[in-house]
Amino acid sequence: MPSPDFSPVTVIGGGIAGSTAAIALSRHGLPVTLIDEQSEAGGQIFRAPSPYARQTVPPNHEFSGGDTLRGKLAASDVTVRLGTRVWGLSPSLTLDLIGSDGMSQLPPSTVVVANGATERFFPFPGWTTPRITGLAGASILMRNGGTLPGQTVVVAGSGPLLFSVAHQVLELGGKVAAIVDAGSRTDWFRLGAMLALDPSRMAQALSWMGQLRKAGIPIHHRSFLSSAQETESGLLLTVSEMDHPQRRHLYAAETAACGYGLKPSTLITRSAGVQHHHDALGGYLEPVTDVAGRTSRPDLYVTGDAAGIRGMAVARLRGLVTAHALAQDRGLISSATYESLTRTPRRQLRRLDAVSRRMLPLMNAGRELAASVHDDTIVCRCERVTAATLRSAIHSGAKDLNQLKAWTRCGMGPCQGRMCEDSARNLVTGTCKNTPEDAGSFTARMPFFPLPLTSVTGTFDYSDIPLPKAAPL
Amino acid sequence: MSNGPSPVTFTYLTQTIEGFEGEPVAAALRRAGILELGRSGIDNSSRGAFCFMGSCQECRIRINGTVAYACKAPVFSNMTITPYAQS
Amino acid sequence: MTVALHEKPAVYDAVIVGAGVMGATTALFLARAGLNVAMIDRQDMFRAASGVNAGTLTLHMTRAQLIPHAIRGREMWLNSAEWLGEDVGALATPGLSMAFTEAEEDLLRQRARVRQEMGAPIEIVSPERAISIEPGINPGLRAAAYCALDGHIPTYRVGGAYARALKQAGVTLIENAAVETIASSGGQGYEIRLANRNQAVHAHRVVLSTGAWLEKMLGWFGHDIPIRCLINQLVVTETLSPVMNSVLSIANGLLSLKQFANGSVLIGGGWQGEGNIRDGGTRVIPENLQGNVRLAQHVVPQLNTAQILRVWLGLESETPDAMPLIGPLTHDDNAFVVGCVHSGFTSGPYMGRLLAERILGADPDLTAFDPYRFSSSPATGSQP
Repeated sequence: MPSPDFSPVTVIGGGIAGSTAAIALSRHGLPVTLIDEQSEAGGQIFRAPSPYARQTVPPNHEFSGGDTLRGKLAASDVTVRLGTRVWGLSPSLTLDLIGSDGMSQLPPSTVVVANGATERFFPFPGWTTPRITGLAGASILMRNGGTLPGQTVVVAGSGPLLFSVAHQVLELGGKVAAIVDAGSRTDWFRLGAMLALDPSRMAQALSWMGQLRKAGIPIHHRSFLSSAQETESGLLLTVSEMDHPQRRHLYAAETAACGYGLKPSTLITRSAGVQHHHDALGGYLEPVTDVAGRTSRPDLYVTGDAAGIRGMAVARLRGLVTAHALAQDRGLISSATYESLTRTPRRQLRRLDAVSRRMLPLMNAGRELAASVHDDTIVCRCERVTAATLRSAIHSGAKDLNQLKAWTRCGMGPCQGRMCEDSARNLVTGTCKNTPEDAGSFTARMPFFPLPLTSVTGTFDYSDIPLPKAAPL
Repeated sequence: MSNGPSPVTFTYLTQTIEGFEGEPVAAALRRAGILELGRSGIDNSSRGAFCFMGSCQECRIRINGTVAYACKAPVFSNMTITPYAQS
Repeated sequence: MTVALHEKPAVYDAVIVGAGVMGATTALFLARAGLNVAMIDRQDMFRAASGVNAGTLTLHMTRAQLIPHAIRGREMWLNSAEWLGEDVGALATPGLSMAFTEAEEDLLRQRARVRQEMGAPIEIVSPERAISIEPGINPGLRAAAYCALDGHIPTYRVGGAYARALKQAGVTLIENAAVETIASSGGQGYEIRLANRNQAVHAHRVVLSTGAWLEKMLGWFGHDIPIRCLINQLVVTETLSPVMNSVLSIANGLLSLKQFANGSVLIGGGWQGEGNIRDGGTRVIPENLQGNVRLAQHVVPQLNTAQILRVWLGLESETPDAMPLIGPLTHDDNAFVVGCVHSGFTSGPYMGRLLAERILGADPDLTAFDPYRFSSSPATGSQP
């Protein structure tokens, strides 16, 4: 056992995994700083409801779970820096931060990345209107904001979030015009059998489905939103069937929510240079980790959904196991103690991990959509790059995402490709014979999101600028 | 239990909006029927809150002149909100 | 079995190593003259300096001795439709270089004078005149150097345009293939071995145009020339309403500032980051980011409303005398180099075309760029 090393640990992300890990790490006696961009910890699932949402949304597991987690965090020795974002990092893991108090740096430390997931989108004509939100976005607006995305909503995309969002719309008194699912009914039946291993999730799913059926909401499987047209009062949405493109269904709704599953947020891990691989089942890039979240860098761990999408129960277990493993790596506990502390969570993790992995193809059921997207459709929302532009660049020889970005500006805008990367990759693999690995991913660049120029410049005099010596004549 | 939400008013461009202190600006604006939060600097098309988790950057607005994310910035009394885009 | 119509030759007339502006322009003109040409790059084409530079067409920052070349290069960019086959969006604007202190004003006048002598239409103007040309600049300036010939290119449009032109000219492109050795193959030209490929590439002539990666390859041909690698920082803002029309710089050459048609402002000037040529990995030095951006905000105060969208670094190569390397590397006239051109993007196409003309038998004046100027004992051939 190495001699105990009590140097600081920084946890990025105060969701379920990050908060759990931070609390457990500080119980091992480590000085822990937890950084989160929101004003309260909880991440997306346990996001703290607004005072208004507390009144409008019926009490639920996410509210109580989040309150419990925030209570534990407050009672712990963890230094919590809320309203703070990481906008860059150095090779030695100095973190560049920006918060309400301005810019600051955190000196190199062991970093636990727990920055969760990002939603995946596939474009269709009209998807950039403000009347369309992400599916996870709609859920956050309702749960955290107690506010309906619209009085009538079409819920579209793939994965279990479809039914959760539809349920939330009804709960707040809205109407669901239709549910449009890229997955097939058979996929869900197959999953249903697996869910028996996870009775609590099963019970919830069954109750939502029963409620939606009772409300008489049309559910289209193997279908997708093929266009959204703005009307006087809202949207006219076209639903197409994947196996019978000529079959179309029209719905009028005030708004639509659409999302095609989640993917790990990898800007920070890619920027830190840890090894990643393409997970074929999930259809996304994820950092290569062991069960405890160790990566190819000894000073960087990844935990929760950031290490691969497995959902909230797994996130908590992963957070615990990562914290104990880090304590063991630091020589704070023996391997025997690690084994005994993590025996139960690791057993639960194995069982739930199997269930969650089965969910991945369902979340990625829209994977075939991006390759067939209409030429006129905007793929990159920020730079307004169309599918036709991307296809033409691919034909000119841009067969890798970074070359595609360099030649078309796709992914160069403020979101840094978070919204368009999956579509761009699917367009590459669908247009030429490159694999997702060959197509790669956009190089992560600083800042990770736009920074006010004055936050970098601050107050200064001309004489403060350290002008280097003049360039040669 | 927390206290009930306190109703406040604020302005978006020239409109007076009612909301509750501490709720996300995007939620209050949406209930007031305001979905467009700005325009694209590239082609002037409408932009609004999309991802609600700080990724898409499309819900950025200015609160009393300072850039903020409507999906998470909390409402406070008498705040003045203008679109972010300058074009 | 039928023979494919476009079967690749066993031995290329010329192989260009390094697919950036200079090498690609040489390749293009050689192929159009009827040579069988292949171009090899360690990664995808146009991804190093040629893909990430500031797209400046300025004469203020080009080395004085290269002014005539920069003027020709700038013209080529502005007329790219004629020789490249498509318009890459180059825009002609004036350029203003500013001085804020007495020392800077001296430097400004000195730099303007040597550039005027080399043919740049630069004149010193009063602060009032400068502000009338560019109303958004800091009124605290002492003087400015005005040049009618300046401008910029949206760099992102260049790579794809070259890709299409090269394809049409019949150039074979071999990407993601690092060159491991170049060996003389018994009087039959060169054998070029590539990483991760079994088959070597054979060529009668080779052209090295690998920029920051030149040093090692020059050594293979007996030229021991230390190549310094600059790691230039660039900062781009989000789109904002028009704040400038011309290309702005300061007297010592450490700022280049321009606003593209889409409204984004590009801040450059050669502030340094960290990096290495091994894997091309780079990192921003926070103090240099701050310094560069402060300078930009000082020059155009309205930038205080901008948002920084991205910061990146590009590798630029420089010889000990900061002059280019263009010309033959061997006395048998079969190996050549083109590179290390200060402000290489501006004059790059012209330099690449000059080398193509030289290879095709013309005799352009390349004396100042001769790689032999660094060697005491001229090399006689190539050794791996």
